[in-house]
Amino acid sequence: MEIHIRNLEFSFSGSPSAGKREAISESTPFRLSIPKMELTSGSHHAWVGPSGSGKTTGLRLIAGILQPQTCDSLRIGSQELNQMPSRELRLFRAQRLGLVFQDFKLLEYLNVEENILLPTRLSKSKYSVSELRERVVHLLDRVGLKNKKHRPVTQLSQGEQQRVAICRALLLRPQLVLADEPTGNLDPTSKTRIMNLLRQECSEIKSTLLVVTHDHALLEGMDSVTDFSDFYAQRQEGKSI
Amino acid sequence: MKSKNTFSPYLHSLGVLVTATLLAGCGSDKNENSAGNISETSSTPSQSLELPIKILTVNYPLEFFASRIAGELADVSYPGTANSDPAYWTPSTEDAQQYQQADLVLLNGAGYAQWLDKFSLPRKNQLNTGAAFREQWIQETESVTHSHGPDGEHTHTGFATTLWLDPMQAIQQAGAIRSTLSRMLPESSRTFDQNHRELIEELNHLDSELGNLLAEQINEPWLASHPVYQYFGRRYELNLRSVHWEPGQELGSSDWEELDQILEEHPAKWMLWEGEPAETVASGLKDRGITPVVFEIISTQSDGKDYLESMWENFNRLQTSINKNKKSP
Amino acid sequence: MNALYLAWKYWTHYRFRSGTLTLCLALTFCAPLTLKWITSGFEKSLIRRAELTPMVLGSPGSSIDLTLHALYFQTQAPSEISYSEVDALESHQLGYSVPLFAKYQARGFPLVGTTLDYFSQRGLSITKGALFVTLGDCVIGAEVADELQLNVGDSLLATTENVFDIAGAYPLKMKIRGILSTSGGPDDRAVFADLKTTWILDGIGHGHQDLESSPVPENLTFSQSQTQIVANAALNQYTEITESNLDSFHFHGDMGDYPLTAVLIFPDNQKSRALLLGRYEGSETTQISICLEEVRGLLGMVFRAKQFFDLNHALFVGVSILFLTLTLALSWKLRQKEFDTLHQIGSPGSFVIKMLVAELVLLLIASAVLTALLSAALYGIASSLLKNSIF
Repeated sequence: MEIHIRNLEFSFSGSPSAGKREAISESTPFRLSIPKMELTSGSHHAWVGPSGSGKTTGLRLIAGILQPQTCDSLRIGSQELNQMPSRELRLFRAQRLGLVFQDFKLLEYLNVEENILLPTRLSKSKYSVSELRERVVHLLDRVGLKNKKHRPVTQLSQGEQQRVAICRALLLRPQLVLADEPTGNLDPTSKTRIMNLLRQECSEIKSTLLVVTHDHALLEGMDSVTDFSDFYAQRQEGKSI
Repeated sequence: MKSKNTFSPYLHSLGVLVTATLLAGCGSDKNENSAGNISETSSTPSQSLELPIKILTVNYPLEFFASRIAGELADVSYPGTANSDPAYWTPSTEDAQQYQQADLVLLNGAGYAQWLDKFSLPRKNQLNTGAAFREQWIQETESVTHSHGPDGEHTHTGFATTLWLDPMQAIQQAGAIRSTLSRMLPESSRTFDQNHRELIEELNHLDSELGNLLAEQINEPWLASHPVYQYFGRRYELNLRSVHWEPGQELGSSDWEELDQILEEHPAKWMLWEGEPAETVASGLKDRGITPVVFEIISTQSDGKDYLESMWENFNRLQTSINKNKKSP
Repeated sequence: MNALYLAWKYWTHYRFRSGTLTLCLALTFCAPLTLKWITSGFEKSLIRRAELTPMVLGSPGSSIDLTLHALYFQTQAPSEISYSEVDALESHQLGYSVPLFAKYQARGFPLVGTTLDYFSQRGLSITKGALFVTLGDCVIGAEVADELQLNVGDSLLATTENVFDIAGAYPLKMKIRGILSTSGGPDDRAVFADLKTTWILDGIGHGHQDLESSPVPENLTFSQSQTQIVANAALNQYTEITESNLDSFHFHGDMGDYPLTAVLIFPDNQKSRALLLGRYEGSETTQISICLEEVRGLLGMVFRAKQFFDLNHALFVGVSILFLTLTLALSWKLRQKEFDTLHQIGSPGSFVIKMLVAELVLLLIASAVLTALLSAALYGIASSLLKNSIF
């Protein structure tokens, strides 16, 4: 699924990273401005840039969680997100997108399998129960957690937790996978492993992958890399950009 | 950021909801008490009587009256044996339980059937057929005396019990049975009335015949072998005195002395007997100018004769004896 | 369904937290609930019995005492009326009546002398044995049988009210003929016998121990002459009615003069009831008390006292609920991140609300169940403690 952005602007009086709960400067107003961006279907992209440069905000805009103040076009595949009502946005998110977060966002009270199947609990899916179960087994097999299907997620290492989160994102074969600092909390060996895994899996289901990272070591093999500092401007005292 | 507090307003109202629900839950304690009014319950248990209804009596005459009046609608019986006097009979526990379970128990009144003092019967099922003429019960003069405790001697007195030997009293007893049956089975009251009327006619006929027969004997001295003919004697105004002789029993000289003494002031010509006296007794009586006459008291049924048949036999024996006496004064 | 699924998962995963909340709620509610349960059960059974016994005839005096005596055999027997009152009542033909003579006791339980009509009127059935048949028989309530470990065929000693009353009648050894099924009322804790049996205790009826025909042990006789045997006090410490001496039992005087402590009246209908009330108005020797009115009056006083407890409990429950609300609100606030995740993955806005409602419902159901269990346990303890003091 390709991504097509024209003249997108989003400004906020707080921190761009507020959604991540890791704000560097809570009260700093900021503005994100993307004049043009094109990502082709099935390709793998990375967004880099310093912390607080608006990468996460960008992801959230693409995911339809946030809405830009002005935008000529924000098109994902054939759908123009900019004009979509919130209910459809939610369905779009549930059925076409896979989301991977830096802090995994697994539910502690569910076990590995239940966490992976969580998206099917939140909205209807076109797959049957047996298909879904098979898919879970397949994914767990791919990420090497087949024998931990019934483990509580709290008993897993961080790397394992992220692998579970990736399985959850890929469960419904999304056409676009958005990963926000997927390796941010991991040790160096896990980092590469997780990144490779993500790219392999996305290739297998031919989905477009967009990774936000500030770890340049992970950029190898990406089809394109965008530096986000180009789009970001911090409002300094009295100085407008 | 827009998404940050998506749920906060919901959370707030949910909190309010929790509080409201729970508080409402405790508030509903009130006012429930007034809902405790149970709809008016019938005070009497439903009397669904199965036909034929079951009636038990304490002697044969009541059984006769009841079965004549009720006809097929009741199964009437007296469970005692024919050879024991119902006045002194004691039922077995099983018999007593039969009485307890009967739809109607017919009592004679006048303290008849002493077992009633010792057994438990439901009041509701009892009908004292003699209660309506309680004032006319005859107090017995003879009494049994015994002593115990510091109170010293005391006396048991009672009433004469053979109410049914007076056809007029029998009519009253039958009347009580009829009205009770009509109350129990109101839909059959016409049948009861009809049967009752027929019975009353027959009793009235018996009474008038007895009255005619005994008209000349009014205030004449009569004897009875046992004090059981008080009501009969009163009805036909006989001057009746009793001894305590059993039918078939031989008598000693003291008994005859007692009789001779009585005869001095009470020169009776007839002596009523419940059964045939012993031959020696009969000839002894005849020697004294007294004719023994068997007048059955019919407290139990004998030889398959019903109450009226037995009464007519009594009548016939009386008539024969009186007529014979007239011819040979 | 999915919201309930997640709620259930959350609920069972945080067992300790859920359990504590449940217990807090249950403890908050079980005390007032039990009290309400006890008082309403108490009230219902009182009212029900009063409704089933419209009126009671007794001697003049405290009408509440008369009612409590006739309905629950609790208070001391009021002064007596004569048996002729029953015949007088029935002569009106406005209903029927069940006489009671409940003056004595049998091993601590009230001994109620009555007729068999009592059982049919109260709808009491026999679970074992039969109803009383002869003098000296008795039928015992289910709890009496339980507590005294008595069975059909056993004997039970009925005692006159005053142990020191030397001149009084001997205790009566009664034979248990039957055991009543549990009825949940005062009949469970009473002993029933025929009126005549209780009159024997009152000294009105008696039998004679045959000292002549059976060999008399020497220590029993005081002096013996040709015509008289005088028995000493060791003759019998109690009266017992057996098959062999049953025939010797008899009563002195006119039955109409025999005593009763109360007569239950069951009028045929409202009109009969009014007529009866009219006929006994102004009577100097008897009074009729309307049971429902008496019991309502009594309950009125009890429930005014209960209102104070209710207020106290309401405050307590209110405070607990506020605490609970605060706890839940804080917990939901802490779970904001989880809710955001669900939203981002694609849950509808209402999903989280449904999930929280489901959790709340689970909490309420669990608390209700626990409350019921705790209350039942408390009720059990309380009712066994109160058994002897509450009617």
